[in-house]
Amino acid sequence: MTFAQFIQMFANGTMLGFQLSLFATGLTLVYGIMHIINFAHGELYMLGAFAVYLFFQVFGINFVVSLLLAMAVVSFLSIVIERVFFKPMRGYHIPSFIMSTGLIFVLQVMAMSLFGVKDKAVDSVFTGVLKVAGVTLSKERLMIIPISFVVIAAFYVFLLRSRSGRAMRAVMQDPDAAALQGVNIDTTCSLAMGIGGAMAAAAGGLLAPIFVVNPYLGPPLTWEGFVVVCLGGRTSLPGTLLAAFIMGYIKSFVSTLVDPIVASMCAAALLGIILIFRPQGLLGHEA
Amino acid sequence: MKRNRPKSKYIGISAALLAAFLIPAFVKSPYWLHVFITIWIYIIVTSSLRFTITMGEWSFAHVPLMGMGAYTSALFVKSLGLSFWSALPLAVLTTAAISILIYLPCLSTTGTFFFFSSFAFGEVMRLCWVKFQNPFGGPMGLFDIPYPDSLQLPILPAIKFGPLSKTPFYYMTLLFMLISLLLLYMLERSRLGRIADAIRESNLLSQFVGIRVNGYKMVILVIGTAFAALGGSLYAHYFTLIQPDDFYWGLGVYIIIYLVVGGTQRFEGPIAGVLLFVLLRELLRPIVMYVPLVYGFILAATLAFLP
Repeated sequence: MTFAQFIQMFANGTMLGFQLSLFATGLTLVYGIMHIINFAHGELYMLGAFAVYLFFQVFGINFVVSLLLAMAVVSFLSIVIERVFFKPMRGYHIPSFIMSTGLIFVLQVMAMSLFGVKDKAVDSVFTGVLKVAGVTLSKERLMIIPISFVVIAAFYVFLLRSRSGRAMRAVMQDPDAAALQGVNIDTTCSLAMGIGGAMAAAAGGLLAPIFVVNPYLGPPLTWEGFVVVCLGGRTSLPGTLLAAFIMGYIKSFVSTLVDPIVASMCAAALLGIILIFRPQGLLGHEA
Repeated sequence: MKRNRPKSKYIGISAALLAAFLIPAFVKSPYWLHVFITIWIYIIVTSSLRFTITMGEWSFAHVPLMGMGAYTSALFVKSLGLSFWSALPLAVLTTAAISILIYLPCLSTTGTFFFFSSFAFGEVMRLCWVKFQNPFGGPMGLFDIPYPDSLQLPILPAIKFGPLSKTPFYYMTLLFMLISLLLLYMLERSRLGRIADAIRESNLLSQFVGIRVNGYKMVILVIGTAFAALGGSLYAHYFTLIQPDDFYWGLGVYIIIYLVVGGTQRFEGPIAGVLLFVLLRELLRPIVMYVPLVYGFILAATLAFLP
Protein backbone atom coordinates (compact mmCIF):
# COMPACT_ATOMS: atom_id res chain seq x y z
CA MET A 1 0.00 0.00 0.00
CA THR A 2 1.55 3.24 -1.10
CA PHE A 3 0.97 6.61 0.48
CA ALA A 4 -1.18 7.72 -2.49
CA GLN A 5 -3.40 4.67 -2.12
CA PHE A 6 -3.76 5.33 1.56
CA ILE A 7 -4.87 8.92 0.94
CA GLN A 8 -7.34 7.78 -1.70
CA MET A 9 -8.85 5.18 0.59
CA PHE A 10 -8.96 7.73 3.37
CA ALA A 11 -10.77 10.25 1.15
CA ASN A 12 -13.21 7.60 0.00
CA GLY A 13 -13.84 6.53 3.58
CA THR A 14 -14.46 10.14 4.58
CA MET A 15 -16.94 10.48 1.77
CA LEU A 16 -18.75 7.29 2.78
CA GLY A 17 -18.66 8.47 6.37
CA PHE A 18 -20.41 11.71 5.45
CA GLN A 19 -22.95 9.86 3.35
CA LEU A 20 -23.72 7.48 6.20
CA SER A 21 -23.85 10.33 8.72
CA LEU A 22 -26.44 12.16 6.66
CA PHE A 23 -28.41 8.98 6.23
CA ALA A 24 -28.18 7.56 9.73
CA THR A 25 -28.86 10.81 11.56
CA GLY A 26 -32.43 10.62 10.31
CA LEU A 27 -32.72 7.03 11.49
CA THR A 28 -31.40 7.94 14.92
CA LEU A 29 -33.84 10.85 15.18
CA VAL A 30 -36.80 8.70 14.22
CA TYR A 31 -35.73 5.92 16.56
CA GLY A 32 -34.82 8.24 19.40
CA ILE A 33 -37.98 10.29 19.28
CA MET A 34 -40.68 7.88 18.16
CA HIS A 35 -39.06 4.51 18.94
CA ILE A 36 -39.81 3.37 15.44
CA ILE A 37 -37.55 1.07 13.45
CA ASN A 38 -37.93 2.68 10.07
CA PHE A 39 -36.68 0.25 7.46
CA ALA A 40 -38.19 2.42 4.74
CA HIS A 41 -35.57 5.10 5.38
CA GLY A 42 -33.51 3.81 2.45
CA GLU A 43 -36.49 4.40 0.19
CA LEU A 44 -36.42 8.08 1.17
CA TYR A 45 -32.78 8.11 0.08
CA MET A 46 -33.79 6.48 -3.19
CA LEU A 47 -36.60 8.99 -3.73
CA GLY A 48 -34.17 11.82 -3.01
CA ALA A 49 -31.87 10.49 -5.70
CA PHE A 50 -34.78 10.25 -8.12
CA ALA A 51 -35.94 13.76 -7.27
CA VAL A 52 -32.48 15.12 -8.07
CA TYR A 53 -32.52 13.11 -11.29
CA LEU A 54 -35.88 14.66 -12.15
CA PHE A 55 -35.08 18.27 -11.30
CA PHE A 56 -31.46 18.35 -12.40
CA GLN A 57 -31.31 15.93 -15.31
CA VAL A 58 -34.78 16.24 -16.79
CA PHE A 59 -35.77 19.83 -15.99
CA GLY A 60 -32.21 21.16 -16.06
CA ILE A 61 -32.38 23.17 -12.84
CA ASN A 62 -29.15 24.14 -11.05
CA PHE A 63 -27.72 21.24 -9.01
CA VAL A 64 -27.79 22.93 -5.62
CA VAL A 65 -31.31 24.21 -6.18
CA SER A 66 -32.52 20.79 -7.26
CA LEU A 67 -30.87 19.26 -4.22
CA LEU A 68 -32.80 21.67 -2.01
CA LEU A 69 -36.01 20.98 -3.93
CA ALA A 70 -35.47 17.22 -3.54
CA MET A 71 -34.95 17.68 0.19
CA ALA A 72 -38.18 19.67 0.44
CA VAL A 73 -40.23 17.15 -1.55
CA VAL A 74 -38.96 14.10 0.33
CA SER A 75 -39.32 15.89 3.64
CA PHE A 76 -42.97 16.60 2.86
CA LEU A 77 -43.50 12.99 1.83
CA SER A 78 -41.93 11.68 5.03
CA ILE A 79 -44.15 13.89 7.15
CA VAL A 80 -47.16 12.42 5.35
CA ILE A 81 -45.77 8.91 5.99
CA GLU A 82 -45.27 9.73 9.64
CA ARG A 83 -48.81 11.03 10.03
CA VAL A 84 -50.50 8.18 8.19
CA PHE A 85 -48.43 5.10 8.93
CA PHE A 86 -46.16 5.64 11.91
CA LYS A 87 -48.37 7.51 14.33
CA PRO A 88 -50.14 4.41 15.67
CA MET A 89 -46.83 2.49 15.78
CA ARG A 90 -44.91 4.77 18.12
CA GLY A 91 -43.02 2.79 20.70
CA TYR A 92 -43.71 -0.63 19.16
CA HIS A 93 -40.47 -1.92 17.66
CA ILE A 94 -41.41 -5.07 15.79
CA PRO A 95 -44.78 -3.84 14.43
CA SER A 96 -43.14 -0.64 13.21
CA PHE A 97 -40.43 -2.69 11.54
CA ILE A 98 -43.08 -4.74 9.74
CA MET A 99 -45.06 -1.63 8.82
CA SER A 100 -41.99 0.01 7.36
CA THR A 101 -41.14 -3.08 5.31
CA GLY A 102 -44.65 -2.78 3.89
CA LEU A 103 -43.77 0.81 3.06
CA ILE A 104 -40.63 -0.34 1.26
CA PHE A 105 -42.84 -2.26 -1.17
CA VAL A 106 -45.20 0.65 -1.63
CA LEU A 107 -42.47 3.23 -2.24
CA GLN A 108 -40.47 0.93 -4.52
CA VAL A 109 -43.51 0.30 -6.68
CA MET A 110 -44.21 4.03 -6.74
CA ALA A 111 -40.69 4.80 -7.94
CA MET A 112 -40.84 1.93 -10.39
CA SER A 113 -44.08 3.07 -12.02
CA LEU A 114 -42.97 6.70 -12.13
CA PHE A 115 -39.43 6.23 -13.38
CA GLY A 116 -39.13 2.64 -14.63
CA VAL A 117 -36.75 -0.04 -13.43
CA LYS A 118 -33.76 0.91 -15.58
CA ASP A 119 -30.67 2.47 -14.06
CA LYS A 120 -30.64 6.21 -14.53
CA ALA A 121 -27.41 8.17 -14.77
CA VAL A 122 -27.13 11.72 -13.55
CA ASP A 123 -24.52 13.93 -15.22
CA SER A 124 -21.50 14.90 -13.20
CA VAL A 125 -21.66 18.34 -11.73
CA PHE A 126 -18.05 18.80 -10.77
CA THR A 127 -15.75 17.28 -13.32
CA GLY A 128 -12.04 16.76 -13.32
CA VAL A 129 -9.57 15.51 -10.78
CA LEU A 130 -7.49 17.09 -8.13
CA LYS A 131 -3.81 16.17 -8.05
CA VAL A 132 -1.93 16.83 -4.86
CA ALA A 133 1.56 15.40 -4.37
CA GLY A 134 1.00 12.48 -6.68
CA VAL A 135 -2.40 11.65 -5.23
CA THR A 136 -5.28 11.73 -7.67
CA LEU A 137 -8.71 12.48 -6.25
CA SER A 138 -11.91 12.98 -8.18
CA LYS A 139 -13.39 16.42 -7.51
CA GLU A 140 -16.87 15.03 -7.80
CA ARG A 141 -16.34 12.76 -4.82
CA LEU A 142 -14.49 15.39 -2.84
CA MET A 143 -17.31 17.89 -3.25
CA ILE A 144 -19.59 15.62 -1.26
CA ILE A 145 -17.56 16.33 1.84
CA PRO A 146 -18.16 20.12 2.15
CA ILE A 147 -21.80 19.92 1.08
CA SER A 148 -22.67 17.20 3.58
CA PHE A 149 -20.66 19.02 6.19
CA VAL A 150 -22.80 22.12 5.65
CA VAL A 151 -26.03 20.11 5.90
CA ILE A 152 -24.92 18.30 9.07
CA ALA A 153 -23.65 21.51 10.63
CA ALA A 154 -26.92 23.27 9.83
CA PHE A 155 -28.78 20.42 11.48
CA TYR A 156 -26.64 20.62 14.61
CA VAL A 157 -27.08 24.39 14.85
CA PHE A 158 -30.81 23.85 14.59
CA LEU A 159 -30.72 21.08 17.18
CA LEU A 160 -28.61 22.95 19.70
CA ARG A 161 -29.78 26.51 19.25
CA SER A 162 -33.43 26.60 18.19
CA ARG A 163 -36.50 26.04 20.29
CA SER A 164 -37.75 23.12 18.21
CA GLY A 165 -34.30 21.56 18.36
CA ARG A 166 -34.34 21.74 22.14
CA ALA A 167 -37.83 20.23 22.10
CA MET A 168 -36.47 17.36 20.05
CA ARG A 169 -33.65 16.68 22.47
CA ALA A 170 -36.10 16.85 25.34
CA VAL A 171 -38.40 14.29 23.75
CA MET A 172 -35.44 12.01 23.09
CA GLN A 173 -34.53 12.10 26.75
CA ASP A 174 -37.98 11.65 28.21
CA PRO A 175 -41.18 12.08 26.20
CA ASP A 176 -43.48 12.28 29.22
CA ALA A 177 -41.46 14.93 30.98
CA ALA A 178 -41.18 16.87 27.72
CA ALA A 179 -44.93 16.72 27.20
CA LEU A 180 -45.44 18.00 30.76
CA GLN A 181 -43.22 20.96 29.93
CA GLY A 182 -45.53 21.86 27.07
CA VAL A 183 -43.67 20.26 24.17
CA ASN A 184 -46.03 19.21 21.43
CA ILE A 185 -45.04 15.57 20.84
CA ASP A 186 -46.91 15.18 17.56
CA THR A 187 -45.31 18.25 16.00
CA THR A 188 -41.88 17.17 17.22
CA CYS A 189 -42.32 13.70 15.74
CA SER A 190 -43.36 15.10 12.37
CA LEU A 191 -40.47 17.52 12.44
CA ALA A 192 -38.00 14.74 13.24
CA MET A 193 -39.32 12.59 10.44
CA GLY A 194 -39.27 15.55 8.05
CA ILE A 195 -35.68 16.42 8.90
CA GLY A 196 -34.65 12.77 8.70
CA GLY A 197 -36.27 12.49 5.28
CA ALA A 198 -34.60 15.68 4.07
CA MET A 199 -31.17 14.45 5.17
CA ALA A 200 -31.68 11.05 3.56
CA ALA A 201 -32.75 12.84 0.37
CA ALA A 202 -29.63 15.02 0.57
CA ALA A 203 -27.47 11.90 0.80
CA GLY A 204 -29.30 10.32 -2.12
CA GLY A 205 -29.12 13.45 -4.23
CA LEU A 206 -25.42 14.00 -3.55
CA LEU A 207 -24.50 10.47 -4.53
CA ALA A 208 -26.79 10.36 -7.57
CA PRO A 209 -24.12 11.70 -9.96
CA ILE A 210 -21.56 9.17 -8.68
CA PHE A 211 -23.61 6.00 -8.64
CA VAL A 212 -26.63 5.12 -10.77
CA VAL A 213 -30.21 5.72 -9.65
CA ASN A 214 -32.72 2.87 -9.58
CA PRO A 215 -35.70 1.90 -7.42
CA TYR A 216 -33.69 -0.70 -5.47
CA LEU A 217 -31.09 1.55 -3.90
CA GLY A 218 -32.80 1.58 -0.52
CA PRO A 219 -32.61 -1.72 1.40
CA PRO A 220 -28.82 -2.32 1.37
CA LEU A 221 -28.23 1.21 2.60
CA THR A 222 -30.91 0.90 5.27
CA TRP A 223 -29.10 -2.13 6.56
CA GLU A 224 -25.82 -0.22 6.78
CA GLY A 225 -27.67 2.67 8.38
CA PHE A 226 -28.91 0.36 11.10
CA VAL A 227 -25.48 -1.03 11.72
CA VAL A 228 -24.34 2.58 12.21
CA VAL A 229 -27.27 3.45 14.47
CA CYS A 230 -26.80 0.40 16.71
CA LEU A 231 -23.06 0.91 16.80
CA GLY A 232 -23.41 4.54 17.76
CA GLY A 233 -25.82 3.91 20.58
CA ARG A 234 -29.21 4.18 18.88
CA THR A 235 -30.38 7.42 20.49
CA SER A 236 -27.08 9.25 20.53
CA LEU A 237 -26.56 11.66 17.63
CA PRO A 238 -22.81 12.20 18.21
CA GLY A 239 -22.50 8.41 18.48
CA THR A 240 -24.15 8.08 15.09
CA LEU A 241 -21.58 10.42 13.53
CA LEU A 242 -18.69 8.53 15.11
CA ALA A 243 -20.09 5.18 14.03
CA ALA A 244 -20.78 6.46 10.52
CA PHE A 245 -17.13 7.36 10.07
CA ILE A 246 -15.93 4.07 11.57
CA MET A 247 -18.18 2.26 9.09
CA GLY A 248 -17.06 4.47 6.22
CA TYR A 249 -13.39 3.75 6.86
CA ILE A 250 -14.01 0.02 7.38
CA LYS A 251 -15.88 -0.14 4.10
CA SER A 252 -13.30 1.86 2.20
CA PHE A 253 -10.17 0.18 3.55
CA VAL A 254 -11.40 -3.42 3.73
CA SER A 255 -13.10 -3.21 0.32
CA THR A 256 -9.92 -1.99 -1.31
CA LEU A 257 -7.45 -4.17 0.56
CA VAL A 258 -9.46 -7.40 0.77
CA ASP A 259 -12.82 -7.31 -1.04
CA PRO A 260 -16.27 -5.76 -0.63
CA ILE A 261 -17.92 -8.95 0.62
CA VAL A 262 -15.46 -9.21 3.49
CA ALA A 263 -16.16 -5.54 4.24
CA SER A 264 -19.89 -6.20 4.59
CA MET A 265 -19.09 -9.27 6.67
CA CYS A 266 -16.94 -7.19 9.01
CA ALA A 267 -19.75 -4.67 9.37
CA ALA A 268 -22.34 -7.32 10.19
CA ALA A 269 -20.03 -9.12 12.60
CA LEU A 270 -19.19 -5.81 14.26
CA LEU A 271 -22.89 -5.15 14.78
CA GLY A 272 -23.41 -8.58 16.31
CA ILE A 273 -20.43 -8.22 18.62
CA ILE A 274 -21.37 -4.70 19.70
CA LEU A 275 -24.94 -5.73 20.47
CA ILE A 276 -23.75 -8.61 22.59
CA PHE A 277 -20.94 -7.00 24.53
CA ARG A 278 -22.03 -3.39 24.62
CA PRO A 279 -25.74 -3.24 23.84
CA GLN A 280 -25.88 0.47 24.53
CA GLY A 281 -23.49 1.11 21.64
CA LEU A 282 -20.35 3.22 21.60
CA LEU A 283 -21.74 6.48 22.97
CA GLY A 284 -25.17 5.43 24.19
CA HIS A 285 -26.10 5.63 27.83
CA GLU A 286 -29.36 3.75 28.29
CA ALA A 287 -28.95 0.12 29.24
CA MET B 1 -71.44 -16.73 19.91
CA LYS B 2 -71.51 -20.16 21.41
CA ARG B 3 -68.31 -22.08 21.39
CA ASN B 4 -68.78 -25.58 20.16
CA ARG B 5 -65.51 -25.57 18.34
CA PRO B 6 -64.20 -29.10 18.68
CA LYS B 7 -66.75 -30.70 16.37
CA SER B 8 -66.73 -28.05 13.66
CA LYS B 9 -62.97 -27.87 14.02
CA TYR B 10 -62.52 -31.55 13.26
CA ILE B 11 -64.89 -31.32 10.32
CA GLY B 12 -62.97 -28.31 9.01
CA ILE B 13 -59.61 -30.00 9.39
CA SER B 14 -60.77 -33.19 7.69
CA ALA B 15 -62.32 -31.22 4.83
CA ALA B 16 -59.09 -29.26 4.38
CA LEU B 17 -57.02 -32.45 4.45
CA LEU B 18 -59.30 -34.15 1.95
CA ALA B 19 -59.10 -31.14 -0.34
CA ALA B 20 -55.32 -31.02 -0.01
CA PHE B 21 -54.99 -34.71 -0.88
CA LEU B 22 -57.40 -34.50 -3.79
CA ILE B 23 -55.93 -31.41 -5.43
CA PRO B 24 -53.60 -33.36 -7.77
CA ALA B 25 -56.55 -35.45 -8.95
CA PHE B 26 -58.40 -32.39 -10.21
CA VAL B 27 -55.69 -29.90 -10.92
CA LYS B 28 -53.75 -31.18 -13.87
CA SER B 29 -51.80 -28.03 -14.58
CA PRO B 30 -48.23 -28.50 -13.30
CA TYR B 31 -48.12 -24.78 -12.73
CA TRP B 32 -50.75 -24.85 -10.01
CA LEU B 33 -49.18 -27.93 -8.45
CA HIS B 34 -45.96 -25.93 -8.32
CA VAL B 35 -47.80 -23.12 -6.55
CA PHE B 36 -49.14 -25.54 -3.97
CA ILE B 37 -45.76 -27.19 -3.45
CA THR B 38 -44.25 -23.79 -2.64
CA ILE B 39 -47.19 -23.08 -0.35
CA TRP B 40 -46.55 -26.27 1.64
CA ILE B 41 -42.84 -25.44 1.96
CA TYR B 42 -43.59 -21.90 3.10
CA ILE B 43 -46.12 -23.19 5.63
CA ILE B 44 -43.42 -25.35 7.21
CA VAL B 45 -41.07 -22.38 7.49
CA THR B 46 -43.68 -19.88 8.65
CA SER B 47 -45.18 -22.20 11.25
CA SER B 48 -41.76 -23.00 12.64
CA LEU B 49 -41.04 -19.27 12.89
CA ARG B 50 -44.31 -18.87 14.75
CA PHE B 51 -43.22 -21.62 17.11
CA THR B 52 -40.00 -19.76 17.91
CA ILE B 53 -41.76 -16.48 18.56
CA THR B 54 -44.13 -18.04 21.08
CA MET B 55 -41.36 -17.37 23.57
CA GLY B 56 -41.42 -13.70 22.68
CA GLU B 57 -38.23 -13.13 20.69
CA TRP B 58 -38.31 -12.43 16.97
CA SER B 59 -35.41 -14.01 15.14
CA PHE B 60 -34.40 -12.72 11.75
CA ALA B 61 -31.89 -15.54 11.30
CA HIS B 62 -34.72 -17.99 10.64
CA VAL B 63 -34.71 -17.65 6.86
CA PRO B 64 -30.89 -17.64 6.55
CA LEU B 65 -30.96 -20.83 8.62
CA MET B 66 -33.54 -22.27 6.25
CA GLY B 67 -31.00 -21.43 3.57
CA MET B 68 -28.36 -23.21 5.59
CA GLY B 69 -30.61 -26.28 5.55
CA ALA B 70 -30.92 -25.97 1.79
CA TYR B 71 -27.17 -25.56 1.31
CA THR B 72 -26.12 -28.36 3.63
CA SER B 73 -28.65 -30.74 2.15
CA ALA B 74 -27.60 -29.87 -1.41
CA LEU B 75 -23.92 -30.25 -0.50
CA PHE B 76 -24.43 -33.60 1.23
CA VAL B 77 -26.03 -34.93 -1.93
CA LYS B 78 -23.81 -33.20 -4.48
CA SER B 79 -20.40 -33.42 -2.87
CA LEU B 80 -20.66 -36.43 -0.59
CA GLY B 81 -22.95 -38.39 -2.88
CA LEU B 82 -25.45 -39.27 -0.20
CA SER B 83 -29.02 -40.09 -1.07
CA PHE B 84 -31.62 -37.40 -0.48
CA TRP B 85 -33.30 -39.51 2.18
CA SER B 86 -30.19 -39.57 4.34
CA ALA B 87 -29.11 -36.04 3.44
CA LEU B 88 -32.40 -34.59 4.68
CA PRO B 89 -32.09 -35.64 8.34
CA LEU B 90 -28.35 -34.92 8.28
CA ALA B 91 -29.00 -31.41 6.96
CA VAL B 92 -31.61 -30.84 9.65
CA LEU B 93 -29.19 -31.95 12.36
CA THR B 94 -26.28 -29.92 10.97
CA THR B 95 -28.37 -26.80 10.69
CA ALA B 96 -29.70 -27.26 14.21
CA ALA B 97 -26.10 -27.51 15.41
CA ILE B 98 -25.15 -24.35 13.49
CA SER B 99 -28.14 -22.55 14.95
CA ILE B 100 -26.82 -23.31 18.45
CA LEU B 101 -23.59 -21.54 17.50
CA ILE B 102 -25.49 -18.58 16.12
CA TYR B 103 -28.07 -18.20 18.86
CA LEU B 104 -25.66 -18.77 21.72
CA PRO B 105 -24.22 -15.25 21.52
CA CYS B 106 -27.55 -13.74 20.43
CA LEU B 107 -29.35 -15.02 23.50
CA SER B 108 -27.41 -12.75 25.79
CA THR B 109 -29.63 -10.03 24.33
CA THR B 110 -33.39 -9.64 24.27
CA GLY B 111 -36.10 -7.82 22.34
CA THR B 112 -34.98 -5.48 19.60
CA PHE B 113 -31.34 -6.30 20.30
CA PHE B 114 -32.02 -9.97 19.74
CA PHE B 115 -33.76 -9.16 16.50
CA PHE B 116 -30.82 -7.10 15.27
CA SER B 117 -28.11 -9.45 16.42
CA SER B 118 -29.83 -12.42 14.80
CA PHE B 119 -30.14 -10.25 11.70
CA ALA B 120 -26.39 -9.57 11.84
CA PHE B 121 -25.41 -13.23 12.19
CA GLY B 122 -27.82 -14.26 9.45
CA GLU B 123 -26.18 -11.69 7.23
CA VAL B 124 -22.70 -12.99 8.07
CA MET B 125 -23.90 -16.46 7.08
CA ARG B 126 -25.30 -15.22 3.77
CA LEU B 127 -22.08 -13.35 3.01
CA CYS B 128 -20.16 -16.58 3.66
CA TRP B 129 -22.17 -18.26 0.89
CA VAL B 130 -21.39 -15.35 -1.42
CA LYS B 131 -17.75 -15.26 -0.49
CA PHE B 132 -16.69 -18.89 -0.51
CA GLN B 133 -16.83 -20.14 -4.05
CA ASN B 134 -15.62 -23.60 -3.18
CA PRO B 135 -18.34 -25.33 -1.24
CA PHE B 136 -21.15 -22.80 -1.66
CA GLY B 137 -20.74 -21.72 -5.28
CA GLY B 138 -20.40 -18.00 -4.62
CA PRO B 139 -23.02 -15.51 -5.77
CA MET B 140 -24.20 -17.88 -8.49
CA GLY B 141 -25.26 -20.40 -5.88
CA LEU B 142 -25.52 -24.14 -6.34
CA PHE B 143 -27.21 -25.56 -9.38
CA ASP B 144 -27.98 -29.03 -10.73
CA ILE B 145 -28.95 -30.21 -7.29
CA PRO B 146 -30.19 -33.77 -7.83
CA TYR B 147 -33.84 -34.55 -7.43
CA PRO B 148 -34.66 -36.94 -4.59
CA ASP B 149 -33.86 -40.56 -5.43
CA SER B 150 -36.76 -42.72 -6.34
CA LEU B 151 -38.37 -44.32 -3.39
CA GLN B 152 -39.41 -47.97 -3.15
CA LEU B 153 -42.29 -48.36 -0.77
CA PRO B 154 -43.52 -51.87 0.14
CA ILE B 155 -46.83 -51.98 -1.70
CA LEU B 156 -46.72 -49.15 -4.18
CA PRO B 157 -44.70 -49.02 -7.37
CA ALA B 158 -41.45 -47.08 -7.18
CA ILE B 159 -41.97 -43.36 -6.82
CA LYS B 160 -39.76 -41.35 -9.13
CA PHE B 161 -38.97 -37.68 -8.65
CA GLY B 162 -38.09 -35.65 -11.67
CA PRO B 163 -38.68 -32.36 -13.41
CA LEU B 164 -41.77 -33.58 -15.21
CA SER B 165 -43.62 -35.27 -12.39
CA LYS B 166 -44.88 -32.79 -9.87
CA THR B 167 -47.35 -35.12 -8.20
CA PRO B 168 -44.82 -37.11 -6.12
CA PHE B 169 -43.30 -33.84 -4.98
CA TYR B 170 -46.72 -32.58 -4.12
CA TYR B 171 -47.46 -35.51 -1.85
CA MET B 172 -43.97 -35.52 -0.38
CA THR B 173 -44.09 -31.85 0.63
CA LEU B 174 -47.68 -32.21 1.80
CA LEU B 175 -46.76 -35.15 4.03
CA PHE B 176 -43.71 -33.38 5.41
CA MET B 177 -45.81 -30.33 6.08
CA LEU B 178 -48.51 -32.32 7.88
CA ILE B 179 -45.96 -34.16 9.99
CA SER B 180 -44.24 -30.88 10.89
CA LEU B 181 -47.52 -29.21 11.75
CA LEU B 182 -48.54 -32.14 13.90
CA LEU B 183 -45.21 -32.14 15.74
CA LEU B 184 -45.28 -28.36 16.21
CA TYR B 185 -48.83 -28.56 17.50
CA MET B 186 -47.94 -31.29 19.97
CA LEU B 187 -44.88 -29.37 21.12
CA GLU B 188 -46.94 -26.28 21.61
CA ARG B 189 -49.49 -28.11 23.71
CA SER B 190 -46.76 -29.81 25.70
CA ARG B 191 -44.91 -28.55 28.76
CA LEU B 192 -42.43 -26.81 26.47
CA GLY B 193 -45.20 -24.75 24.88
CA ARG B 194 -46.47 -23.64 28.26
CA ILE B 195 -42.98 -22.70 29.34
CA ALA B 196 -42.68 -20.65 26.13
CA ASP B 197 -45.88 -18.80 27.05
CA ALA B 198 -44.56 -18.16 30.52
CA ILE B 199 -41.30 -16.76 29.17
CA ARG B 200 -43.17 -14.50 26.75
CA GLU B 201 -45.48 -13.16 29.40
CA SER B 202 -42.80 -12.48 31.95
CA ASN B 203 -39.16 -13.29 31.60
CA LEU B 204 -38.38 -12.34 35.18
CA LEU B 205 -41.30 -14.19 36.73
CA SER B 206 -40.39 -17.35 34.82
CA GLN B 207 -36.93 -17.15 36.33
CA PHE B 208 -38.48 -16.89 39.76
CA VAL B 209 -40.50 -20.05 39.37
CA GLY B 210 -37.36 -21.88 38.37
CA ILE B 211 -37.47 -21.95 34.59
CA ARG B 212 -34.06 -21.73 32.99
CA VAL B 213 -35.11 -19.04 30.57
CA ASN B 214 -32.15 -19.02 28.21
CA GLY B 215 -31.90 -22.79 28.11
CA TYR B 216 -35.52 -23.13 27.08
CA LYS B 217 -35.28 -20.28 24.60
CA MET B 218 -32.39 -22.12 22.99
CA VAL B 219 -34.31 -25.39 22.88
CA ILE B 220 -37.25 -23.65 21.22
CA LEU B 221 -35.06 -21.83 18.71
CA VAL B 222 -33.21 -25.00 17.79
CA ILE B 223 -36.43 -26.94 17.29
CA GLY B 224 -37.82 -24.13 15.15
CA THR B 225 -34.62 -24.07 13.13
CA ALA B 226 -34.78 -27.81 12.54
CA PHE B 227 -38.16 -27.40 10.85
CA ALA B 228 -36.91 -24.42 8.86
CA ALA B 229 -33.99 -26.59 7.69
CA LEU B 230 -36.45 -29.27 6.64
CA GLY B 231 -38.27 -26.66 4.56
CA GLY B 232 -34.95 -25.48 3.14
CA SER B 233 -33.89 -28.98 2.18
CA LEU B 234 -37.19 -29.61 0.38
CA TYR B 235 -36.78 -26.23 -1.33
CA ALA B 236 -33.28 -27.07 -2.55
CA HIS B 237 -34.24 -30.43 -4.00
CA TYR B 238 -37.42 -29.17 -5.53
CA PHE B 239 -36.05 -26.06 -7.23
CA THR B 240 -32.62 -27.72 -7.84
CA LEU B 241 -31.06 -24.26 -7.83
CA ILE B 242 -30.26 -22.20 -4.76
CA GLN B 243 -28.62 -18.81 -4.60
CA PRO B 244 -27.56 -16.76 -1.61
CA ASP B 245 -30.14 -14.11 -2.48
CA ASP B 246 -32.98 -16.65 -2.24
CA PHE B 247 -32.59 -16.54 1.52
CA TYR B 248 -31.88 -12.86 1.79
CA TRP B 249 -34.16 -10.56 3.66
CA GLY B 250 -36.66 -10.53 0.78
CA LEU B 251 -37.93 -13.95 1.75
CA GLY B 252 -37.28 -13.20 5.43
CA VAL B 253 -39.59 -10.23 5.28
CA TYR B 254 -42.21 -12.12 3.30
CA ILE B 255 -42.27 -14.91 5.86
CA ILE B 256 -42.73 -12.37 8.64
CA ILE B 257 -45.52 -10.71 6.65
CA TYR B 258 -47.30 -14.04 6.14
CA LEU B 259 -47.03 -14.64 9.83
CA VAL B 260 -48.17 -11.21 10.96
CA VAL B 261 -51.11 -10.97 8.60
CA GLY B 262 -52.13 -14.56 9.34
CA GLY B 263 -51.88 -13.88 13.04
CA THR B 264 -49.27 -14.90 15.56
CA GLN B 265 -51.66 -15.81 18.33
CA ARG B 266 -53.26 -18.85 16.76
CA PHE B 267 -51.75 -22.02 15.38
CA GLU B 268 -53.71 -21.63 12.11
CA GLY B 269 -52.39 -18.11 11.58
CA PRO B 270 -49.31 -18.85 9.48
CA ILE B 271 -51.23 -21.36 7.34
CA ALA B 272 -53.89 -18.78 6.57
CA GLY B 273 -51.30 -16.09 5.92
CA VAL B 274 -49.28 -18.17 3.46
CA LEU B 275 -52.39 -19.34 1.60
CA LEU B 276 -53.79 -15.83 1.38
CA PHE B 277 -50.64 -14.19 0.12
CA VAL B 278 -49.38 -16.83 -2.29
CA LEU B 279 -52.79 -17.36 -3.86
CA LEU B 280 -53.26 -13.60 -4.06
CA ARG B 281 -49.96 -13.32 -5.88
CA GLU B 282 -51.09 -15.91 -8.40
CA LEU B 283 -54.44 -14.22 -8.94
CA LEU B 284 -52.75 -10.87 -9.42
CA ARG B 285 -50.22 -12.33 -11.86
CA PRO B 286 -51.43 -10.01 -14.71
CA ILE B 287 -50.49 -6.93 -12.71
CA VAL B 288 -47.45 -8.49 -11.06
CA MET B 289 -45.65 -5.17 -10.85
CA TYR B 290 -48.17 -3.83 -8.39
CA VAL B 291 -48.32 -6.89 -6.18
CA PRO B 292 -45.92 -5.45 -3.57
CA LEU B 293 -48.20 -2.42 -3.41
CA VAL B 294 -51.17 -4.64 -2.59
CA TYR B 295 -49.06 -6.52 -0.04
CA GLY B 296 -48.00 -3.27 1.55
CA PHE B 297 -51.54 -2.06 1.91
CA ILE B 298 -52.85 -5.35 3.29
CA LEU B 299 -50.04 -5.25 5.81
CA ALA B 300 -50.75 -1.66 6.80
CA ALA B 301 -54.46 -2.40 7.12
CA THR B 302 -53.79 -5.51 9.23
CA LEU B 303 -51.51 -3.64 11.59
CA ALA B 304 -53.90 -0.70 11.85
CA PHE B 305 -57.17 -2.56 12.31
CA LEU B 306 -56.35 -6.07 13.58
CA PRO B 307 -53.38 -5.70 15.89
